[in-house]
Amino acid sequence: MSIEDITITEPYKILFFTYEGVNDQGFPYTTSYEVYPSYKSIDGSWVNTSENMFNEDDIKSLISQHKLDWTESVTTDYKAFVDSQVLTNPSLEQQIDEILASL
Amino acid sequence: MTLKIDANQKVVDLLTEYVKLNIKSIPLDRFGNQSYHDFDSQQLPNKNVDKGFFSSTDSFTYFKHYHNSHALIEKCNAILKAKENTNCLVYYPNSFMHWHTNSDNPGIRTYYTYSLGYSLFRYIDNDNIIDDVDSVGWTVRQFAVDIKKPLWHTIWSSGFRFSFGFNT
Repeated sequence: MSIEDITITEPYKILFFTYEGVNDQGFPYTTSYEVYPSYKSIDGSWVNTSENMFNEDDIKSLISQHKLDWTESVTTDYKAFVDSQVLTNPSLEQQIDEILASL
Repeated sequence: MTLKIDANQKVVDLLTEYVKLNIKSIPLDRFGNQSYHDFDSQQLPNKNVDKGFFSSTDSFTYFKHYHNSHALIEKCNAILKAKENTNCLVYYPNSFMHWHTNSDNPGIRTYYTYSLGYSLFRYIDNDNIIDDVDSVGWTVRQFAVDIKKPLWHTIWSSGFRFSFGFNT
């Protein structure tokens, strides 16, 4: 699957997708991205945008900026959520615990 | 213009200890309930706004030991040669501080912030809007607060964000 095969029919406020590829050394890897309204890779890096809504071109542009090789075998898993992150975010207690563990 | 500076490790250690001591006192019955779009849609005010403010009291709280009353904060003041600690502030997830300049309290302002989620410091530099994204963990920024040359800035945070301001 190439990047052109990705179809995003509606702008998403929150978007998760997973990319599975093979790195330069031939090792397979999986990485996940979150878009709300910016996106970040699981290594913690972020790319910011000034838009709150994303369309297909936006997503492709973001992916391109991140230099992902979409010519590799790819699986995608899209999931759109409602406006509030409350439904998807850890509870405040969990976030506090996460912070404590990180300090 | 870059605002980020290297962290003083002693200050980081002290503030880390401070957070560990006080984090459990944060009320958990609040939530910012703002969207990034709300943040991004803000218009730059055409009149000075000196103090930073939130849309709702549910968007923030102060740590229990506010200002210079805590020994760890006093130690930070001494290391940074700061006249005062200006705040020990907690941003709740999905909250933002509106555009402001801090020009009511001039000096050299140094902010130590801690966040794991996505948060950013947006400011105006020569009529350009700059988005300076927080690092995961501690970030330190420093800038002059000069009423003759105000630095407009606004802050978005999608997760908890702890902010410690020092004025020299």
